[in-house]
Amino acid sequence: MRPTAQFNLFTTLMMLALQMLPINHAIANDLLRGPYLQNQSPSELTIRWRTSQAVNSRLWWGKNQGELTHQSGADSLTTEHSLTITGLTPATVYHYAIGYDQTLLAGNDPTHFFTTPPMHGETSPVRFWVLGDSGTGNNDALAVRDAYLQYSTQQPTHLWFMLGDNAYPLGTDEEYQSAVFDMYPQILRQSTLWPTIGNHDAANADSVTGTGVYYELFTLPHQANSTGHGIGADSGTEAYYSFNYANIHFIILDSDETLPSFRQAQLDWLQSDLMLNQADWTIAMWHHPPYTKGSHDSDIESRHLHMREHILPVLESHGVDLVLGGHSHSYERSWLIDGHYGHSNTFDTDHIVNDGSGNPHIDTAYVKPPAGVMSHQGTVYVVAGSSGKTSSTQGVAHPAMRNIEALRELGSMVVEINGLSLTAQFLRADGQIEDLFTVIKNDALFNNSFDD
Amino acid sequence: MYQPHYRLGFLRYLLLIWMCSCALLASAHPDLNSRQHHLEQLQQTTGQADWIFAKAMLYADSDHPGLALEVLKTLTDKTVTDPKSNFRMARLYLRLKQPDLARKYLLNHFKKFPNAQPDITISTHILLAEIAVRQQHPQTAVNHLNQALMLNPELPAHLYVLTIRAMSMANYAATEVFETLKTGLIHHPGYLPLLELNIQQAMTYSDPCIIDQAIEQLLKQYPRHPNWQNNSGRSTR
Ligand SMILES: [Fe+2]
Repeated sequence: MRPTAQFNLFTTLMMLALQMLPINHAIANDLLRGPYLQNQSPSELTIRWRTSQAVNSRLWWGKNQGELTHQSGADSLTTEHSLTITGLTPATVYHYAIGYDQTLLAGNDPTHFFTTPPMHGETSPVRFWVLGDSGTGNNDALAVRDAYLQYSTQQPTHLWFMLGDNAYPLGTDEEYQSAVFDMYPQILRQSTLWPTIGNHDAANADSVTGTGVYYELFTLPHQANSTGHGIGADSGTEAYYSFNYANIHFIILDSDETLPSFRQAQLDWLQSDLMLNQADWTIAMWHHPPYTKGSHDSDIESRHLHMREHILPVLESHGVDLVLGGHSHSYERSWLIDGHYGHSNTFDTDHIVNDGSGNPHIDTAYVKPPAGVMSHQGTVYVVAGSSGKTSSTQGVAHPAMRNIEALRELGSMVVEINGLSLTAQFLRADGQIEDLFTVIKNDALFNNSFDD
Repeated sequence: MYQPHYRLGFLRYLLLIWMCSCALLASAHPDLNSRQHHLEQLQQTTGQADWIFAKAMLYADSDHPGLALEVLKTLTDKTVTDPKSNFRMARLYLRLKQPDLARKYLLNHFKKFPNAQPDITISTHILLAEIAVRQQHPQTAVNHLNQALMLNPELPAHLYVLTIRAMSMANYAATEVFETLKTGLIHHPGYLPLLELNIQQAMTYSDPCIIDQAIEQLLKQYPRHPNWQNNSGRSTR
């Protein structure tokens, strides 16, 4: 039968429509990893994934599911896909899909979306999740994950962090697959993961040269300032970096690498970065915490000592508010403290800025002056390294950690910042909140508490 | 019939040594109990060299450098059959303040593994440069750093700074230093130490235009930089 002109037109239009939309006919096995979100700023985001065969990379996105009107791609054939979207609108929800040619591998469904951060300095609510030493890939890690997902069903995770030892025992690609990519697929595709390097990750990575598995897997802001990810200084490396999210300046450090020239470069960068920082909140994290009597002892082990003696004075003189660490597989938390850089037996009341619990349900929140970066107004230190397992402790409390012995309990940290109020909680794997503290930046309150 | 029993006996002997060392370690540090599990995993999943190396690391991390060295010495040229272990061993020797042994294994890398992945070769050059700087051999350091940067010009920015400092120590001509600075700034346009070194280097030319250009380059990246935003260090045109 001879086709009619009408039929031809219809077919052509159909073909055109099909070419414009991704088609979902790929074999599920083609997608081995991801998609996972990286290196997010108010206007940019990198999306990465891995395929079993070398194919080109395609990314579709838009403000409504089913209307992914924007497309970007790379024609080179690869199994490791990484595409960066630019020109995004801040504080906006986007839906996306990934694939190759016109083949959709994942997305264009209710679970593939991301929210861009607000402009730097804006004070919109921010909620983030922190995992420490989560890399076991076992049932303990699963329990911690599920407790968080259940706790957060109605609330967003704007960003999330790993405090190091993200994949045991050697931080290999296979271990990352099971401990990270197979463990947190849902959150990886919706919220940007900001990792920290731990001693186990470093077994297959070299921070000095920025090479190895950890550095191959993550895209991090080594040029944060010059690419608009932060208001600080470019670190020139992915080993340590900073970025801004709303009114918060996040600093991620490498506490594992011991080469003196590396340590000096990190310290010099930290000083410049903090000098330029004007955010309301400054939050720093690294793997080896400055104060711990958990499965590690910060009085003995050299990496803890280095961070306490050399990094803390710089951070505190630039008004850091919260410091997070792992390595000890337990939970410990300080008062609002300042100026303690020595052995635990030298800690005394002079170092305590506020000796309350910081829990407004028990006594009062910690109060600090409001102007973003003020020197030596007190910092809360947290060890949260029990997101994958717990380990035996030293059997004594570190005096800086409120004289409370390390808690051998599986869990993770949930932190919420709303304007000038920060609340952090330790969420146990059984869903219970074990600890809660609030820090408020308020002039009137600060002056009152100061007068008291 | 005899051989399997002999093997079993030998394995038992190995296991006993390992358990004793773990018990000893555990008494030195409570967390070592939990790390025993990791060692078990390592022993099952990795080669002998990896396992011995992990044990040495455990001693080093637990403030037992002497024991770490003893364990490390059981790793010989025969057991180190891959470039990664060779490099790790050198790293650990350097950490244990044995730069000569570290250098021996690093130089071994070029001889034994000429076709190794560039990443490990680069890391080897960087460590050799670090040792050379410590031993006051800036020219050797420059050579190694240049080779590393040639293999991968996008290496972390601080390595350009190290190279420039070593070049200054080795009395390189200003033009050569400027070339390295220029390359560094192409790959790391916003790295402050490089931008500041660039201003310092420009000052050696005593040409106000070159100095102004270097300051402008920094201010383009950091308009709010307190040391430069008022152009206080600036020359008069
Ligand atoms: Fe660790």
